[in-house]
Amino acid sequence: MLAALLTGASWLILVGFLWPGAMGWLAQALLVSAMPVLLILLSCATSPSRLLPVAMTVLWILLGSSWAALIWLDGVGVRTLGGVPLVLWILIFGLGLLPLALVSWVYLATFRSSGPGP
Amino acid sequence: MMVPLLEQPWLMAVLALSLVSVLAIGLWSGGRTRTAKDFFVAGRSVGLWVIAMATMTAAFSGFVFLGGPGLTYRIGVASLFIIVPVGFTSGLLCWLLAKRLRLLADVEEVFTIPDALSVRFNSRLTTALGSLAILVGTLGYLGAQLLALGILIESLLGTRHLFGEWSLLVAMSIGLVVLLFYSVIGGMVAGVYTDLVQGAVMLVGSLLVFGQTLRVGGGIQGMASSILASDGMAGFFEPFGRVPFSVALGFFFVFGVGVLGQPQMVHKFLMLERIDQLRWMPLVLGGSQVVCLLIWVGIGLVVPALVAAGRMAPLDNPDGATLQFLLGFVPETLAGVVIAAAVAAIMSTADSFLNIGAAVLVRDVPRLLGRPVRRQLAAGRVATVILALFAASLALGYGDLIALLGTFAFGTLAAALAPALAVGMSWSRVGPAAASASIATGLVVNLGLEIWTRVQTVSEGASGALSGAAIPSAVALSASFSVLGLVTWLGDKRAEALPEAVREIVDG
Repeated sequence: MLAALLTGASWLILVGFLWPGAMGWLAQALLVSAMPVLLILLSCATSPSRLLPVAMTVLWILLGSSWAALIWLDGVGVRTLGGVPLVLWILIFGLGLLPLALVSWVYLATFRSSGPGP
Repeated sequence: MMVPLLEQPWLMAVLALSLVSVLAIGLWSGGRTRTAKDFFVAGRSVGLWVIAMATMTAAFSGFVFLGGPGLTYRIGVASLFIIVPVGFTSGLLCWLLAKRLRLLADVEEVFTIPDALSVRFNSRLTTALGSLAILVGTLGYLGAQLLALGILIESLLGTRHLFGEWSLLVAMSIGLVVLLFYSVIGGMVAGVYTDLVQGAVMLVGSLLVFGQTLRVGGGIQGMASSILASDGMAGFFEPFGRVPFSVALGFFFVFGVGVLGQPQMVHKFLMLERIDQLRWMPLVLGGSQVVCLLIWVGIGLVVPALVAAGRMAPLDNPDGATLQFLLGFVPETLAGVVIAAAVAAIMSTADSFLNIGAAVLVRDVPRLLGRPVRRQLAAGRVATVILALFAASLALGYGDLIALLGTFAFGTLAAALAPALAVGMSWSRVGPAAASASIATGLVVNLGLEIWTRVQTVSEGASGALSGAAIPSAVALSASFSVLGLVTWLGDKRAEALPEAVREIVDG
């Protein structure tokens, strides 16, 4: 199932990059954001952890909503929050620091030192 | 152009101290390098912090210090799409590859990424294609790093007026002597421990210079308001104002998922002493990457702000952004630390590729030809020298070509290796045919599209790859994933022939 989703997403991403007008920006961004999530889930397919699928869904929502916000901002011009352009907040926190905190915590929480799984 | 170091004694002292410490580590590690295992995987006895630093420094070349801020000056905040994926890349590497590769090294003798491909797929074609991709990437990366090192040393020492047309050769030779000294004597033992020192210099340099950018620019708010008030900086804060959407998304995709195909990073996981040390790896690796990238963000914002406010002349060459800021707005000692950090970043990436390339030449290729080398330690040292001299000769003779190869070496490695390595290590149904097809697709599509794009750019006068609809590496990487999936679904019976121990690692 995960492998099928990964393959399907790859083909759609390829189509999106080859013909930029073939699908909307948001659809492309959601597909690209899904790639790391699907890869991580595939690598942990046999993991008994319930936390992992939930956390990866959160990661996808975080990355996808950040891209959605950036696409929205592209059409409305520069907006600021606390004197700092909103685009910087989104890039640094939405796509950078919050995913790092989430990923690091989930890896730490689900790590098993023995056996081949995650 | 920079003021020669000889006229700035503190700056020279800091840089000299950094190089001397690297040479000392080379000497120290020479006594600890007795076998091929020591030379290629540091005896598999390295701890968390050293591996994390070595991975970070191998990933971040001089581009982070010199090219990144310049790119931000040119294309605005869209350049950050290259670096923000560090939010998940460290986790991606650990989940998909770190533990499985390290476990594979317990099952078989795995010193290199082609070794890992060989154990996983048991196919000479897959291993040969993987080795070829690594050699192509190594020559591009290594040549570009040596060229950058030569140009930086030439600027710092002001050798142009002393040696004329031989200046670059002299400058590059100085850098090569230091690099080869520790790479040849100490192999990967020297490599990872110099990376530790070089990584510390990079982190301190980035942190300190970021503080200086905030002070000079009046905080992020001050820099933002200067940029927003300037007509000359229009589009700087628009997410896709200066590059097409596809390019921004392509950056995010290639630099986010493509890390899985970077041997200079992935190779480090084979050196880890204990698997349980991986537990903290995403936090330590990701955290150190974030700190190091502060220089990209800080100088990337402050230079446009200073130009917008009329405190700095507009840049003719955006790549000079970092050096202009350091020389004009930073105390001499701190500038020395940052320049030492840039030199460290270049050398640490170069030493990783020297070792990886040497391993392909003395280990992977001879085994593919059925003639394994017996004295791999000695042969590895000789191969390191030959590879460095060959890459330096290419860089001197074909500077433009090498610089070009360097710019798309990341994408080539990403497209060729990421799907086969990452998916192949996590899904036992992926067989050698799928892996080979994917690697070949990544190599051919990326190199073909890059060359086609550059030829088009030259003939039509477009403004480089950024004018295109998407970056070639993004197309190549998605094509490589697509082919891997398609060939696997079409049925690859040899997947069933996996040895039990390998299957257990792959299936988890």
